[in-house]
Amino acid sequence: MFDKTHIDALFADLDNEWRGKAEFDQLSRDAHLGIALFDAGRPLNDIDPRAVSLIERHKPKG
Amino acid sequence: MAKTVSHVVRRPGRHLGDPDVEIPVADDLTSVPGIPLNEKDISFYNRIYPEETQNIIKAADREWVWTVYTEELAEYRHYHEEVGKPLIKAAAASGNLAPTGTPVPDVDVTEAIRQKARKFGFGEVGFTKFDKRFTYIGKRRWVKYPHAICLALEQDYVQTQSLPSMDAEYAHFGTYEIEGALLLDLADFIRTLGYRAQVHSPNDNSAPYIPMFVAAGLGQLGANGQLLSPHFGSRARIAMITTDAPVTYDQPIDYGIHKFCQKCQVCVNRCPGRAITQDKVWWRGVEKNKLIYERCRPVMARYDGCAVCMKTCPIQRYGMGPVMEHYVETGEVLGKGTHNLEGYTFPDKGYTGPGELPMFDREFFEIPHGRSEDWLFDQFKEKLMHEGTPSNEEMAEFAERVKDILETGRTTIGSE
Repeated sequence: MFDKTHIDALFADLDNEWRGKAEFDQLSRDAHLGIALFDAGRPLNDIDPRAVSLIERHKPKG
Repeated sequence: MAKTVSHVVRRPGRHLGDPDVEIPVADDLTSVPGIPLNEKDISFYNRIYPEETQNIIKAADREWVWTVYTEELAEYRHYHEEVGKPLIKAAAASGNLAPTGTPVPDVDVTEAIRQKARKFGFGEVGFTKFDKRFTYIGKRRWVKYPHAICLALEQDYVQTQSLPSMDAEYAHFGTYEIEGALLLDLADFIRTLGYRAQVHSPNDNSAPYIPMFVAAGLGQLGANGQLLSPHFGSRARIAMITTDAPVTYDQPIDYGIHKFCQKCQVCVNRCPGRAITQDKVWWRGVEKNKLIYERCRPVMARYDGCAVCMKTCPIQRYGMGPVMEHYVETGEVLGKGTHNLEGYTFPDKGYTGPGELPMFDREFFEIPHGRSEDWLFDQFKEKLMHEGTPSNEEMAEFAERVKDILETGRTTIGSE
């Protein structure tokens, strides 16, 4: 499960890479939804690939 | 375990032009369209014990909060009140304005208003009867026109997820400000169609609006006491326009929320003030989880409006569609028990994750309560009991303060 450290790091990257751009809002929504689906063991098929990339980068190991 | 789907609710997309969304409702979540209610009880309670705005009946704590606001919040609230004044004033007078156009036969007025409202950015638009029973005492002579146009304007997503924070408060009050102006524009549009329109400002409420939003099918009442609508849950500011335009009413919908909230309970478990009841009760003719104001208000006042109940609602965070789809697939509440959904930070308490709650002393919850004059009298009584007969100066000061309260009047204006 994503804990606070993972979550903070993911959204820090999201902020650095996308804040101010048109996609920022939607990517933020997808990131939250993607984390929830990841934590629930569900596929991320409908999540924006850029948000999936962030989730993959910051997901808990193991 | 996967669930059987009872029915699927189809709703317009989040923005005008977006494809419709479909929300599956599991069999075990079905109850009634809208909310379980007893019409006779609703009529009785509103006739014998009518509602008044909290700006009047809770005025004592509304004055007190200014003593505990952070400097930044106090400054922003002052700014918001100044910005809001002309909007509130214009709304208050809006019902007296004459139409600027002439009704055209065969024009679908309902859809014309709906489309214009959606173009303005309102994420939810619905039509129902203005239920006069709910009108606040102070507004009973003010409200005109029988039909209610219910309007919800979504708040910024990213800012809201930072709750509790000043960023979230900027989103909260900023949305009120934008909405106030849009409502006046929409009312102007309705007048061009040949009809009258009265703006019920979100900062000068005429009634609790949520019952009418539920009646208009725009969502259902959540355990957190907020309207949960499909795209943004409670992450919105709601307001209303009443009109004499011959609109067609929408109908209440069963989104499954009434029972879902009993499965979810995240807001109940995460409320820092422990202010939300776990079980539903019958309250003034409606079955609901009752918010205990006295447990909520002290937290709201000290922590930038709190709203942890909004932050931790999965419907708000993820949208009703994904949450209900997940429930149908798995029988589970999306995000429940996770740091992502349930974690929050209070500056002086640090981070609290799932299963943890910040602790407060008993004194934290002891705040002024009731109307201003009632609280003043309570304090006077306390002083009398503990210190004996007051001096002439103290009596004069008490009389002066009561006079001030009565002369200031009972304003319905305010926002939270």
